[in-house]
Amino acid sequence: MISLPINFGLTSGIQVGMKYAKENGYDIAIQFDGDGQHDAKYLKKLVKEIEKNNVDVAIGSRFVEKKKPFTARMLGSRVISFAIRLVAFKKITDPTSGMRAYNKRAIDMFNSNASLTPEPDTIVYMIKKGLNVKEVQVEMRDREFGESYLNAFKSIKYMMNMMLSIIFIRTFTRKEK
Amino acid sequence: MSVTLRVILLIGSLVSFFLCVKKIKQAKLKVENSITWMMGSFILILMSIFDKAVEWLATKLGFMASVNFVFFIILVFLLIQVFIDNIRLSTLNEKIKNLNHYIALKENADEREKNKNSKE
Repeated sequence: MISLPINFGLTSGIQVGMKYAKENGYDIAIQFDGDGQHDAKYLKKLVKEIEKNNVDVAIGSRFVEKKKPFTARMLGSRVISFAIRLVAFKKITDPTSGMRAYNKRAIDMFNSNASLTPEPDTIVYMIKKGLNVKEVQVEMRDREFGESYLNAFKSIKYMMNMMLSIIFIRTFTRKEK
Repeated sequence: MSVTLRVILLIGSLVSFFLCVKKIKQAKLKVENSITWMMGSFILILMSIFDKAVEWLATKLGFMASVNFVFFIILVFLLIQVFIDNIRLSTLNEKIKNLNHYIALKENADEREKNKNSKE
């Protein structure tokens, strides 16, 4: 367990994990919510995708086989999905999912670019850079404890950030030659 | 430009100029950060002294009144200043974040080293 002396937010936490993974030569890094939403039994599925099917980033999605419900909460998810489809030409059914597995290539990418966050716009960046991103069907529970870092005001801010980032910044990400 | 505005501009820029010098002497302001402020107040001093030149330039550029031109210059100057400060803030943020990471990783590595030694 790595504990940071100053709370610098979610992104910083993920980044320090990626640094640790690189320094210690790990093959796969997993991003996982600790509030009881995610079930650890699905992690094997994600890791298997990376090991067997030559996938670079595996995302645990609730809606690969199931339909996305028409609720207010899913509206944001739909909008982000649409933006990703527009920019990266790929269907990501559950872009806000916090259950992801990254292989070495993705870990290196996190280490070389400080603007990468554990958010949907990073998926767009990685697709654009030519990484193989795949979604895997998982189940998620309702939050057992803790609070989401998104409230009404922050959700709007979050959406605006994501849309700006995906449409105006990630659109201009080019594949390296 | 009216005489009142010229006097206000002159006094304001002189005060800010000497405030800058004073803060640099007290080591509360870095010289490289103060250059923009010094330049800004210097330009304002020049503008309040040579008001005929300002008026000429303002009409050439199509401003309705030379006061507007003066305010426009101040606005542009402030926007540039804020933008520079924003960039500086982001850089500092990034540096603190990396320092934070470094400390955490180092502490973690030390901890593991200690555990390994105590087991042996």
